[in-house]
Amino acid sequence: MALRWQRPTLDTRFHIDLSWWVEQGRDIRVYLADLLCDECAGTLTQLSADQMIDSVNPQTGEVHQVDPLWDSLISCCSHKPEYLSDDIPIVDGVFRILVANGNRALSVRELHERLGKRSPEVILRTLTAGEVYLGLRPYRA
Amino acid sequence: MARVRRMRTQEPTYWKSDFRVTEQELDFLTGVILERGQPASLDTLVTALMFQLIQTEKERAARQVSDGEVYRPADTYETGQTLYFTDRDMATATVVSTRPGVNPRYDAFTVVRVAFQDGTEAEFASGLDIEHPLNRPLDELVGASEEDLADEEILATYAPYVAPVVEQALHQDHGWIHFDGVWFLNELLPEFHVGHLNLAEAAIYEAGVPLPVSEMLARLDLGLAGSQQAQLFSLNHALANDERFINVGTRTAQNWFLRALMPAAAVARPAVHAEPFRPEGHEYVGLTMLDVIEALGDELDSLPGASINEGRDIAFQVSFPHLYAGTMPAGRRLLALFTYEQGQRLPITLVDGRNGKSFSAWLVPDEGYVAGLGDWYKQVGMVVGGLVTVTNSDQPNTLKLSVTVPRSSSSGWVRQASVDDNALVLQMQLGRIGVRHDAATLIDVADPAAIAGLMARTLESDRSLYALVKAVFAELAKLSPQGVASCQALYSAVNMYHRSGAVPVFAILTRSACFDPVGSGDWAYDGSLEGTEYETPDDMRERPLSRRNDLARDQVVHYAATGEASDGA
Repeated sequence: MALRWQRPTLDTRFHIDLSWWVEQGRDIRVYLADLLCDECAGTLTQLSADQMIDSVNPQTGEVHQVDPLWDSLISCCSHKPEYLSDDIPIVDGVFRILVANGNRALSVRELHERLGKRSPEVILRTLTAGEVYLGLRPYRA
Repeated sequence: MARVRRMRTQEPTYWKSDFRVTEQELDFLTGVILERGQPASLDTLVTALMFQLIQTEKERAARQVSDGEVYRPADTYETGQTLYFTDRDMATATVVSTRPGVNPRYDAFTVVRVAFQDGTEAEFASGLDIEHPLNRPLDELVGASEEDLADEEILATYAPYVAPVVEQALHQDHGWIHFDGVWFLNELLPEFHVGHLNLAEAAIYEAGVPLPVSEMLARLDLGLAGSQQAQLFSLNHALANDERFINVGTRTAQNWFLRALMPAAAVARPAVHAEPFRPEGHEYVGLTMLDVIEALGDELDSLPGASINEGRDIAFQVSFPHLYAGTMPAGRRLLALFTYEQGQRLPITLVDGRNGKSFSAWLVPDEGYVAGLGDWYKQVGMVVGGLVTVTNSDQPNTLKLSVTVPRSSSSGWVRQASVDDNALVLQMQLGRIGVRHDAATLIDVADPAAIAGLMARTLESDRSLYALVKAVFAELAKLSPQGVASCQALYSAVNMYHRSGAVPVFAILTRSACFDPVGSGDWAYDGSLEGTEYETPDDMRERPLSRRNDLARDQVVHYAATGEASDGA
């Protein structure tokens, strides 16, 4: 059964649709690499392109093998002030918030709380204006 | 800094919702009893069990610390080693393999793969000396913290949650037996057979007063095995399960007597007193009715703030239920003369003021009456409406009862009650009354059992108090040339249908538009206003719907509203 389209609301959750990047012929890893902090950018050059690393859970010590690019962004770079600076555009800010969240979908209200600027309505309007930016789409489970 | 792992016994959820009594806990509680050799209260058992659980967890944590097997990312481990994981409620796992860790952000470290007891596997960092909440001294990970509650605080905070769980478990376990909150083991119970209980019965007969089990044991010298406490518990338990005996003491200080030696009303509430109509307080009644209520002295009307004559002797007018059951009211003022506990039946002495003769009676505070006046009522020729004055005595637990014999012994017209076609019938007949009485409440009863039967049937029929007031009004009004009835007579007659305080009856008169006060406590009835009630105190006083010229306006007040301004003033 086809999913029925519903008008997005402030409670609609958004994520980065990785298939959009494939459809557009763009490599999200290139875009993500630009978000790395200087320290991580230097560290990752020591690894081969497809090498996985052992991410250590900061609470339990449990280890999971992850993509080093995503891991660095989540565990290091996104905690630095310049990652989400005040002058960053809404679309880029939402994208960076979702990367920092491991691309787990967030509602417009949650995005607004983390972005800390503009109103939720403005964010919703920006994300649903028509054209899809950076693969930001409503999440369908 | 928050601790990584709190002890389970420090967690509110453990005591409030997770705590269960298993065989292990029951074994421990059994050990408590065996060690004491005597029964224990639920509080004692719960305290012992909670301390044991707290202590066991502390000892386990201490063992783990000393073993050095608590998982920390900074430590290194070998295959086959067993680890405790503090963030998983001390789950244990065995290291099954190791490999070098890969993460350019850290110096060289090792990844250990562990297998938990439930079969799941996971990988953990080891040899990773970084800032991490688990890289702390072992005693911080598993030991006490400044945030922890002291053992006594845990007990005080959570025992109320644990006690019902323990109690239920003990109830469900056949090995346990209880008596009034004290628990013991069936196996340890010294056996009291019927011969012992017969001896106990004889001991009470001989003493003529209630006896505690300690005195019974001393008198009987049964030569039973077990500690003194066990024998006391066992005898209490055996007596409680034998219909002949009744505990007239308290839950914690039992005092045993024989049902056969007690008036029936002292053992159980009689049917004529069943399911009474009681005032709840704040009913609207006429101001002049307060004196009437006080004079009637019905214990059901005895609410806080209701009494207006605190300093005087206690007086009451005998209602049919009290006359039939051989009881007398024990309202708040009378109860205040005695020291008692909930559930207790207190043996007291009543002294006949006419001749100084004393007799035994029972104060039953929970029921609000004194039982055991049946014979005395017969001796004095008591009637419904008879006046009795109660005075305190210098002797402990003793009251003096006074009735007055009228000087004139001539006969006169007296209201007499009978039952016909399942209804109360009142007629004027010539009769002679031997005690001073209130003419308004006086009703002679030739066949008390017939009235009691009527009350039993009324109880089954569930008739409303309003319907009963209407029924007795019709009977009383036909005996009056003016077709009126006094509020006292209505109260007295209603109590031949169903036990009721005066206030509920008077409140119906006050708020119902079909009843009008016409002075001297008399009320008239207007059937055309049936079903209409006055809502405000002003309307209850002014009675704007009344068509009577002889209407008597009475200020209306809330009953038992101490210190409150009168509403209808």
